[in-house]
Amino acid sequence: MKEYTTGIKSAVIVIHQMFIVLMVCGLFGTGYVAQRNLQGMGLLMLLSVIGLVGSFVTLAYLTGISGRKSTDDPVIYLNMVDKVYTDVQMVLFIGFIYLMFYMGRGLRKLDFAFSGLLVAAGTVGYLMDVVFLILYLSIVRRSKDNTLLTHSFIYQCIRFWRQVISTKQSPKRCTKKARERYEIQKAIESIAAGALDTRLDVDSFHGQERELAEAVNSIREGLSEAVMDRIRNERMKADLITNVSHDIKTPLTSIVNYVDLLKRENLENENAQNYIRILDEKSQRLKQLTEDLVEASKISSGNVKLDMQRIDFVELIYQTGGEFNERFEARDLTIVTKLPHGSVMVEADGRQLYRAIENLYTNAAKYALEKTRVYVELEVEDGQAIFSIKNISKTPLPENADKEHDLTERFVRGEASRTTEGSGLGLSIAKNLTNLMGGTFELKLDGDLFVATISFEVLGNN
Amino acid sequence: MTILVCDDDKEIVEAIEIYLIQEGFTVEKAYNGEQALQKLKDLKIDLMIIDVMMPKLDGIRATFQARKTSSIPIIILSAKTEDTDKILGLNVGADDYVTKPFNPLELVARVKSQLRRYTTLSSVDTGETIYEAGGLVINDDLKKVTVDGEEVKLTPIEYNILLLLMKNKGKVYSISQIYEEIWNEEAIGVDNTVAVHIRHIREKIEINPKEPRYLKVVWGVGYKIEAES
Repeated sequence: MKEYTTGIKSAVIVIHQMFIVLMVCGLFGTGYVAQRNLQGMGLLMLLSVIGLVGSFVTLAYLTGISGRKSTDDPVIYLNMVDKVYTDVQMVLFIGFIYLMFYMGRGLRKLDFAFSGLLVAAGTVGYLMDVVFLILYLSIVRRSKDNTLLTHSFIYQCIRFWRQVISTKQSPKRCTKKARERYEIQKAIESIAAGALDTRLDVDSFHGQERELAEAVNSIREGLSEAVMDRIRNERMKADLITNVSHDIKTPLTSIVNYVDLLKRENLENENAQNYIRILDEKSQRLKQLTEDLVEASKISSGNVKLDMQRIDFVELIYQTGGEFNERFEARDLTIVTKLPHGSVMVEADGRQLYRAIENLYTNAAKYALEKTRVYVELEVEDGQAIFSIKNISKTPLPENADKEHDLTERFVRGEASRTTEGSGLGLSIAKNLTNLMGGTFELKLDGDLFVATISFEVLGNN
Repeated sequence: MTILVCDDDKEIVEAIEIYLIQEGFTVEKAYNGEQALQKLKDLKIDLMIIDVMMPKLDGIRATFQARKTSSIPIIILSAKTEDTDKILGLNVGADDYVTKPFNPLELVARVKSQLRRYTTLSSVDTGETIYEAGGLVINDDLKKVTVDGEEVKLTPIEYNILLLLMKNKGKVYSISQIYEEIWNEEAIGVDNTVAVHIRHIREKIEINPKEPRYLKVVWGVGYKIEAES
């Protein structure tokens, strides 16, 4: 790979200019000598030819490397000069040349010594070459970049009016400013909609809009970083809970086993028997708690594999009912089921939907007031299959309406004390599982009435 | 019969030993995978219970090694409860997977079930009508159901439901299909009845009804007997 550094380019330009000065001086000298029939014309002509050839060779080389940074890099790099419209450049250049000729017009008449005239001619030639180079190389770069014609005042004007005509909007709204504003607005909207990879190209904005674009970019960056952090933290939390619970399970295994062995020891002492019973209950609860905890953290961090299938919601409710009827009977609860005849197909992971509904049934079995009825319903409304379970709570539910929300938070239970069975994770698991599968989970509390609903979109019969 | 118990937690090994000795088994103990493989080579072992997370050689590797030379039943014991962990354990050659903390009685039941299955010769063909799925056998001539050689008492309805599913292994029956087949009536006002019967069957034939080996629940679709368990 060969690099074209600024040093190399400057050196070539300097050499080129030396040749130009040589050529100009040579030509001027030839003319001067010819006018006065002096000697040495041959040498001067040779010098001007060398200058001509040399300047053309260096110019050709400059044409080749202009805008490039290395042989391997196909990108054309534009600079400040290239931002001026082509036609404006042209006008400026012609104006400059005209100015030069206008000023150099009296040069012949001046009664300078030959050396003085040479210096004057060389300087004019040098200045003209500088301006020419600036224009020429800019044109070269933009023709390489394919923007020579589009980047002109005339073209932009035509484009602007064409846009005004085609969109039939007032000319004001087609200006660059309006366009840039519109782009920024679009970017903000897509970021608000959650597309956190929306990025504005700051270089294509100007003035105030550039500041706005920069601000939008930095808001996006901050936001996406915060979201990534949250995801990472949630994952770490889930991992931590899984690891800790593994570590808890091993000693817990010994506790469960040895408590069970103690139970078989035929202890005479009644107190001791009572203590063992308590140990047994509590170790079983600890076991349940660790299992639920791992589940809840996995589900809330979205770490569950779903196997989405067409399933029959009605069948699932019957199946769940079959698992629970004795647990309800044990607490004198009656299930009143109201389901549609025939099937109601939804798309869900049957096993996970069962777990969500199982948690609601367990909830009712644990917290419903004895000798009451538990209502289980499935309704189809507006293309939604709405499953609901209603029961009367045995303890007062939180009064504050905001707390409905809280019940689905981890570890929150309807009662303040934490002495009863249950881990406080059931509703959280049910809600997160439902949401993961694209369903909606809702809780309604009305006095002692507890209503939980799970709804899914009904699939057509195809 | 000799059972090898391997876990790096000595108390767990001892607790399991007590339960197994109560049931009349002889117990050999090991505290890491290498020791377990050594004992498996030196002694006559009929069944191995092995933990997963252990120093030196973990239970998964040990099971994999053991399977190269031995065909005895292996039960993996682990605190890892993920489905992927279970699948890995069963894939390297374990016959059963029990998660910690386990119910000791369930572990003993699983040990016995594995041993019965391993030692009982497959039923001799006596010309009787027999349906089999792993250790679950129905003799339709004697109306007798056995799980790993042990007889299970079912009610006539439970028996008919199980027979229907056993005759069509792998096929999923919905509640109304089962209702129509068994009661010979059109299923109009179906309720929980079938689901309750199914749960009762599971409680009778499965060691852990919540994780059935034979009678599987396909949630939202129906019930089936696993074609190959």
